[in-house]
Amino acid sequence: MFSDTKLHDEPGRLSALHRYEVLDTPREEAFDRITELVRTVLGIPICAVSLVDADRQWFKACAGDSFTQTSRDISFCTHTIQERQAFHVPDTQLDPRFADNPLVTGAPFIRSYLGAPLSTPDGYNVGALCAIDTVPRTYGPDQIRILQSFASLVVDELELRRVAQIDHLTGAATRRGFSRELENALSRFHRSGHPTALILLDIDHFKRVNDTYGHPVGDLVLKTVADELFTQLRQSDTIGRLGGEEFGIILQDAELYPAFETAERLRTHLESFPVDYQPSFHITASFGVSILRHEIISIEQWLATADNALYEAKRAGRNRSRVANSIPA
Amino acid sequence: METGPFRDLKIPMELRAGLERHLVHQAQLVSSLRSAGVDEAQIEKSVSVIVASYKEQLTQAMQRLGNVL
Repeated sequence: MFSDTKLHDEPGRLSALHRYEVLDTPREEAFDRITELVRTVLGIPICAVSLVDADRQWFKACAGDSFTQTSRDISFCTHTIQERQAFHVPDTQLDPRFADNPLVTGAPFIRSYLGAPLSTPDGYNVGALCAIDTVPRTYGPDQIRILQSFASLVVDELELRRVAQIDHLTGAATRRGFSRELENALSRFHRSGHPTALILLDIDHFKRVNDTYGHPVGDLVLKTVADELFTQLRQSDTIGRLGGEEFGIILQDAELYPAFETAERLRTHLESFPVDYQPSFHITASFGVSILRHEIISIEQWLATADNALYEAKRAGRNRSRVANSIPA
Repeated sequence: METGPFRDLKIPMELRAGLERHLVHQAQLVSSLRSAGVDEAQIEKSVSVIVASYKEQLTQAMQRLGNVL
């Protein structure tokens, strides 16, 4: 079904996992309900939704136990994600791979394990739905199919959340998804001083485009701008559509001057790039740049700082970039 | 598109592929539960929980997408 090179593409698998933005998020009823159903239907004491990160497995849901995460090297689910089929260990004490595992010799005393991979629609196994018992147990093909079906439903829930954070017109993050990235950048900065810049971009006279050419062409302009931003920026940078004709960009590892240079580069690129319409036309945009500083303690403050700079660019005649000089209270 | 228990929702294009997959997965679940001999009451309960849960999230997703599109 899928090219199985994806089973061995760990960077791609981790990217697929991180796209869901699910790690370290609060418990959600939708996942708890699924694990409870599996427990009931299979008659097992523990069922978990395990997501396998680079060096840990983290549980989005864990019915029957209070585990939140374990290190990856002792994780059963690490084995599950290497297969397309379910991974079954009928008796851990008879299996030399697991007999000495601390999850077997200590709490939760796993004696049998069945894991169904959580496969994304593009073929990456990001984790497993696992059924755990404290007694030896052999599952039949029908029971294995049940667990696989529930695993597909877990991925459906993850996909729904992921899709809702993407603006499908432009492919950029939605305001919500972008805000989450801003929160992550802010936390990282206050934890490790990781330099990060925020650029806000607003297409000049966008209303005029809509009024002159109609909304389908307005949509084409939005898509063109987003496409050009994607081609001009690094994969590590985040692009979001914040509403209407306003976009946000988070630049990782960017100090003030390089961030300003990036804004100027984008501005001149957009100015020179023709919109693919007959007859073609050009658009311009204004930019506001703000780097993280210790005085910035919320994303609202950070956004307001960049927004003030953007306003300055508009006020000065549009099609220019401005840097934030002060931080709003 | 036959959207079964979700027919009362006006599903935006970007969510339809996911919903179609979800309906297939629901059908697979029912089939696997029946094959395993799970009683009909438990099957009905399982499906109603899954449908209600997905519908709630789908409605929220539609609202979120509506904020931008």
